[in-house]
Amino acid sequence: MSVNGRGTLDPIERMTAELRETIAAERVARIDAERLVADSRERERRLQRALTALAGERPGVRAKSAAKSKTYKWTVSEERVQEALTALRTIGAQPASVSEVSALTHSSTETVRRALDVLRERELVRLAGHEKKRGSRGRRTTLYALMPGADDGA
Amino acid sequence: MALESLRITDFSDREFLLVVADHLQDDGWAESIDVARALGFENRRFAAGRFAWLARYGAVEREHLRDETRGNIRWHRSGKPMHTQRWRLTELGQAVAYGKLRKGDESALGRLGDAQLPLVTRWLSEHSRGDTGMAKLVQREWRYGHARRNGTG
Repeated sequence: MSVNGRGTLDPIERMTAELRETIAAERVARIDAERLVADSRERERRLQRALTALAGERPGVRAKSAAKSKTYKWTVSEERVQEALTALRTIGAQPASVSEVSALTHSSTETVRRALDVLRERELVRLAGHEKKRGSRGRRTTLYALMPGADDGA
Repeated sequence: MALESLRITDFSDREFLLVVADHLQDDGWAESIDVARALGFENRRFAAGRFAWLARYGAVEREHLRDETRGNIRWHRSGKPMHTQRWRLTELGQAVAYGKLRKGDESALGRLGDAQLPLVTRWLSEHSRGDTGMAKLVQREWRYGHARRNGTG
């Protein structure tokens, strides 16, 4: 960091540093928000199950099953694959879940899952384990990490 | 993608060794239950099979149970040594988990044309025959790679 003749920081560099800090804080906030949404969805699913058990009521089930029956075969683009790899490099050495990578890349979780599968086939990413989701009983989320040597951008 | 088993077609030896490395304690050993839990299993027996095979191939070793006073290895009446439930990577295991091709080797392989690939495969097959630990690990790596690419993994 350069210092001018009067012993103060260059204003451009100061602004750049502040912006970098703000971006990092924004990323952390987004990951937290993503986790809260995932927890909320999980709670909604459990409440829906309770409702089904008590009243046999299951709104929206027809629309959902109809949508599910259409399975499209598609391949994730190389651009999304590279975005997922960059996101994992940004996160660093610690393992990350699909939703965390999705929050960083602004892609859907399904796209990220497929991109991570492609990276796993290329031996750039590995399955690092499973973690229990917060606020859920027994449900686990898969964690991915970079393979040794895949963190240098080579 | 939740694992239902630890078959070689689903989960490579390299990935397994790196999960073991993730769970090494301060003294360099990893509890098998920690590895099993990290992979989504509540019982250590799911990881025990893979540990046993990798030990046979020389990629991991199991900690001996020692007596508390003198630190001597304890033995079963059958003459076999007693073990704890902790494991660590051997030198071969470290090479499988963290090994990298040298830049020169990598670029030489990158220059190979389609016509040379069968020859390289033949060379690799000749050098990975037999029952040595490394030969078995190479054969397993091949099985894993091809199972995934053929969509059977």
